[in-house]
Amino acid sequence: MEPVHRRLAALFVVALVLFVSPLLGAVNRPAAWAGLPVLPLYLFAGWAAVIAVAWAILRRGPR
Amino acid sequence: MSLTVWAALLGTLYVGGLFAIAHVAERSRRAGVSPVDNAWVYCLSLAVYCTSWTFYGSVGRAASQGLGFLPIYLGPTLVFLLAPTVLRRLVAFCRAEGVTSVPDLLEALYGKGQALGMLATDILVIGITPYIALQLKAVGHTFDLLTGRPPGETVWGDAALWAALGFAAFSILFGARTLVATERHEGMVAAVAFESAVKLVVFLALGGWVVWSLGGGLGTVFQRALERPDLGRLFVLGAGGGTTVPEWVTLTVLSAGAVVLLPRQFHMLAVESVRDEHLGPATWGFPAYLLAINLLVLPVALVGILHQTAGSPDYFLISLPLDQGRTDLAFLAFIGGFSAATSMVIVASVALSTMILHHIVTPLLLVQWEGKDLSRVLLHAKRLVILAVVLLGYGFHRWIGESHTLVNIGLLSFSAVTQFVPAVFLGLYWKGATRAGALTGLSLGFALWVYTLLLPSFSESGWVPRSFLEHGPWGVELLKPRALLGLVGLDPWSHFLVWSLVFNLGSFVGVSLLTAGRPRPDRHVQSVGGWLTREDVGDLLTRFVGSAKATQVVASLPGRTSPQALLEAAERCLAGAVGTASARAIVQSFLAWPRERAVEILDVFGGVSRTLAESRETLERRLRELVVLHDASQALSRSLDIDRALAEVLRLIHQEFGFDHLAVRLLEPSGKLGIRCHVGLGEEYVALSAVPPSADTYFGTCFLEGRPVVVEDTREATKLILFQHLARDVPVTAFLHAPMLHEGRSIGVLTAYATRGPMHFTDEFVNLFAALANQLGLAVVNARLYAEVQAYSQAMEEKVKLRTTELEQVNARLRELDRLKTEFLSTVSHELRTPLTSIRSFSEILLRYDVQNPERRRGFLRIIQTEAERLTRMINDLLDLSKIEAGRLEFLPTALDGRACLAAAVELARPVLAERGGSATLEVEADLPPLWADGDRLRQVLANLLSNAAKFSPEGGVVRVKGRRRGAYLLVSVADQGPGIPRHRLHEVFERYTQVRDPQKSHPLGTGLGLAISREIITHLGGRIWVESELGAGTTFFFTVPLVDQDGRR
Repeated sequence: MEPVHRRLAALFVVALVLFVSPLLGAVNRPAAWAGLPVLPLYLFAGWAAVIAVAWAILRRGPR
Repeated sequence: MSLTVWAALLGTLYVGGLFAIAHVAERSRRAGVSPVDNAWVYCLSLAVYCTSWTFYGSVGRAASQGLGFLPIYLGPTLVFLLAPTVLRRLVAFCRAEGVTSVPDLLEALYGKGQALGMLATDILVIGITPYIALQLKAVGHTFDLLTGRPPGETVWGDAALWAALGFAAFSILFGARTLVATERHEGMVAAVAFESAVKLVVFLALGGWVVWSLGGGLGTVFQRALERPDLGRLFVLGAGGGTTVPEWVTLTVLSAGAVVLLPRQFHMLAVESVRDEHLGPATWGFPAYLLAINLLVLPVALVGILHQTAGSPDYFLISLPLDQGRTDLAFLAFIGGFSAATSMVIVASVALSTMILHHIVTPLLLVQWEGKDLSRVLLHAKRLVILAVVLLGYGFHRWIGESHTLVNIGLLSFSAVTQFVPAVFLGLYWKGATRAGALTGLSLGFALWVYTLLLPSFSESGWVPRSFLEHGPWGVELLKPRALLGLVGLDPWSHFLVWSLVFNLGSFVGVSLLTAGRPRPDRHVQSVGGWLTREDVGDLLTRFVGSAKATQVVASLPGRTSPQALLEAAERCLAGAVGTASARAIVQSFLAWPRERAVEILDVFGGVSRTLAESRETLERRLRELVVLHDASQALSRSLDIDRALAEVLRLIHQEFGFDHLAVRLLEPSGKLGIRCHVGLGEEYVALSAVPPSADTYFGTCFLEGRPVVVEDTREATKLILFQHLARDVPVTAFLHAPMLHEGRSIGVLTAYATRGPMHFTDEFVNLFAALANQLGLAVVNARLYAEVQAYSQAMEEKVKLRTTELEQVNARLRELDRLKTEFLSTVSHELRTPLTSIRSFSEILLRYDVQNPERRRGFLRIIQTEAERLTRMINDLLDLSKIEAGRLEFLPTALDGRACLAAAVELARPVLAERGGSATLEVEADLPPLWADGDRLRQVLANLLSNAAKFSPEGGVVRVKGRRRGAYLLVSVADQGPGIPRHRLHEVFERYTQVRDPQKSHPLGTGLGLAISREIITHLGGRIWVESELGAGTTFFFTVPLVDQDGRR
């Protein structure tokens, strides 16, 4: 497996943990942060972060 | 103008715009620039994932279930992180195999048969049709919502129908341009990418307007929402009827599978993929698109709820602007939703029609296929199927009416598609996966889908009794479709997913393990030992994809493509047109066509080998070569009989190389090159092909030029004069002539005819064949020499035998002659002694005794004279005979008077006859012309005959002499009244030294030469002499002498 693919696979696992794991329980509560509900904020931010990291991994290439 | 007209116009214009974009894209592609060969276009085309369900339904779901809409997009995000690895492998596999759809993929993965593909196609058609219906429903509903008119009661008044027809037209034009589905549809992809851009921009623009213009900004919207206790449940999972955590996970899993395996996704992902590298940017680009289009879903839903917008939350995007009087924005929203629906329907209908064509229509067509050209039929069928798929969706939309919300239908389709995940991905990655496992898993999964999702949803709509849902079929609680085997506490999707894991994945793995060990059938048709020409492949492809595409495919192959590669290219192209399973079936039946287009490479000795295994193989082949040559030379040396030797060698070639038809032609003495010995040829051809060698025939060319002539494919043969006769009996597809050379000269031709299709004869094989031919030539020459020697010795033997017989005969004759001569000598000496004795005794008497009586003395002297005369006559006879024998007897023929001759002879004989009291008569025909003969000799003959007659006449007998004219001859007969000659001795009469003695008289009456001399004389005179006799009645001698003719000469 190429390094890029390995990193993306690792990112996949991280995303799995972020979005479909008991970790969700930590943010699954009716609270707000900076005026925004926590869970949507967490999900969208996490989602954006995963995409950004994927972009970065691909951009960096196999170094 | 009313809003209806505007909306219809807008929709029409929009679809028109799509046509224009597609058209431009196609033109550009034809010009050589692919407008879709771009990673961003690829990402946008993948966004066909976002349908009107996303555009309208997400808002609705957010409004009712909070964050429950998100897993639908998180799943794809997760999967696409694996795009460069897992998906790339999938795409590469599909590209390599010419796979065009998920059923095709399964057939490619699990080999032989149509069942799996058919099942998969059925599942997908059943699973996706509601989804298409959903899109049409959205279009129709939003149209009515926008124009404010009541929902169209009639079919013709239903905007969804017209939209459906427009979509179908687009799909047919740009999605079924050619039959080959692996070929990309640039126009369609460009249009879909454009639509994805449109729906994203529209959603963001409208969302922005809704949130910031209506809602007062993101912060404000959330703040107001958080203040509402009833809305708090929307921000957490598992609270108050919202999405639960298990459902969250389930939806993520379902969507992760669906984003790859939904027909439209698979089509865009694998089939329309221009290059694998585009998957890299798609890893984050596509999720980014999904993130962007979802950013404002929740706020928009909140604004809709906060503004207490009327109507279904599904259509907030249209109803909100309409509430605010912003018809223009509502139109914009309609266009966004319309885009989403359009792209989904177009791509899904093309994808579904492809799989229906490949797995249902083509197998049916192929049942009756007899090699006919199906390219047009198939293309029309594909277009019809597209129309049918869209109309089926429309029909379903009319049927379900308003009973389902958008999201439920969408998830139903997702669930159906998820059933393919184990078969596809385990098939790609797990070597132990078997066809039986895939079939079982898929069947059970589908049954589960029908039972736990489809039927309950029908039940909710009232088409199936509600008791089925609440109490299970026949009241069996364990069978309750949403609490199967007592599994309760889960939402329907999770319940379904859990049981899917058991039924589908479980049975798939279980059955695979049970049936493991059976290797998966070969994916490709193997042309073992066979090969094809480019023309064959072109010909085959033309029947399915039309000549233009076929030519293009064949032309794209490199110059020296191996038969296997040709076959694979053909299979790949066909797979694109009719699916992998059908393609395999076609190629197989093509290889088995009666004319046996596929052929064998008769490679007896491979080329230079690189590996050890190869060299061993080569060694074996060399060994085989040597064995064949050895056997051949043994067969040849064993027998010097040409035909047996030839038959033996032909049998050997037949046995070793499998040629069923062989011939040996030899140059015949007549100058014709005829078949001397053959295997499996017709007699008629054998007779016909015996012609002098000429350049008009292949074997003639071979003979004249003294070099092998190879025709590897008789369809390319040009010298057809005799070939047609041959082909009548034997379906010759290739042949090889090798000259039989001896001392640099052709003496014949050895031929092998192949019937198993065109054949490639390697140089090594041709050389071996030529060597065999030369050996045959040598054997023939040897056999011929041997035959010549034998014939000569036989002729000599016969000659010797003949000579020996002749010599024996001569010898016997000589001995007989010797005996006769001895006898003759004794006879002659006896005969001579008789008169000598008389003469001596009478002369002694006269000398010793004084014979006084003069009369007595005269008597004695007369006796002495008579005896002396007799002696003289005898000696004359002997002299004559020796002259005759020496050929020195002279004849002086003159014209004679026959009557005078005869009369003179008779007068001379009278005294002798008178001595015994006999007499002679003479009758001669009057007016006889003169004879042409030697008078002295004729008189001698007559004297002989008369003295014979006198000798044998009894006392007082009469001798009759007659002379008659008989033609140009005088026939003379001399008849006596003697005892006659026995019949069996008649032929001896004229022989020399023979005397037909009178049995009663023991002493001879002459030398026995008289008749022999007479015969010689008569023969010399040109006549004939013979005798007729009757015992006791006398003997008649006849002879002829020529008469003088008109000229006075003979």
